[in-house]
Amino acid sequence: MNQPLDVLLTKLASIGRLLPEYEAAIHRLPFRVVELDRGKPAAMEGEVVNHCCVVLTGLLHRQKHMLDGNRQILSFHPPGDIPDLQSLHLRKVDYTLAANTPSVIGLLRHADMHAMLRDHPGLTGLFWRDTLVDSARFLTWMMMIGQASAEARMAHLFCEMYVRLEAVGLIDGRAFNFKATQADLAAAMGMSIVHANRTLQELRSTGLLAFSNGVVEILDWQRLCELAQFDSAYLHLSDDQAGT
Amino acid sequence: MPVFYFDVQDGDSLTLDQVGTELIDHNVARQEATRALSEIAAEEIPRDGPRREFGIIVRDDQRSVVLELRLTFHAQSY
Repeated sequence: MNQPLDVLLTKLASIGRLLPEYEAAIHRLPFRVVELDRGKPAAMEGEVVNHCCVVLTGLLHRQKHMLDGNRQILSFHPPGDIPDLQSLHLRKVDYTLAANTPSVIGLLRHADMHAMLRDHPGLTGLFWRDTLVDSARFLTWMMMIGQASAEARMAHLFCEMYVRLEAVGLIDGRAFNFKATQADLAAAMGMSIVHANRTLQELRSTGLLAFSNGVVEILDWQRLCELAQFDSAYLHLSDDQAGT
Repeated sequence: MPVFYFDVQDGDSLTLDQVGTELIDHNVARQEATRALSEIAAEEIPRDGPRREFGIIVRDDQRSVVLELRLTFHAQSY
């Protein structure tokens, strides 16, 4: 039976062991559905929150601003992610969580989450693993921002998005939806828009991927991974769902 | 918002911007171009050659040139 939180179950099953009792417990979790227009925040930097958000459809991102207004997109979050899971223990959020594209999220009250985890302590390990994988992504991403060429850095982003979306069944052939704007992509790369555009153009003209109308299609997975020096091990996916 | 086009020169090669970018005004376009030129040069200069020339030509939505930026790198050993 198709239930709204199924995509969360699929995501958790991709990074650890999801026992039937955990599945049942998550199905019993109350949640409130909220629709977000593009750019609408789910949580603002500095806010104290009493709920987490699970991405049900669309794409969210976390971002921070410098005082001069320059924006850095820290991470993207496809369906199945709980981008602010850490808020269960760090209730004052230190980033802004916003919709990158029109999205639907489920609000999970911290009180309900804590109650569920008290009743099913094994689930704590699984959620903990989820936040650890989140951290692991940032270690690799720091490396890419600090040391990688522009093309390698951008290639890495697309490789990672592909693998994460594949883990929750959102890849169609070799293609996926990615409606981030030029400005978003540049903000995620830590580059000027012009440089990001040029880098994207480089990836397209060398036949690595196609990107138009908000759809990315990977044309040469092997060469894209080689350019990105991409090794999906840091995503800690169980039973090897990585790659094509 | 007005659209600006940023053509990038690297030595003899010129990459025309076919897509353009919406930016608030000429000032922001200049800032973007300046940042982009320094980023591209930072990437490219270490890769090859004792002499590199880079440029960005900024055009408006009528495709008229509104700004030209140039950067030259020259390494001389003794």
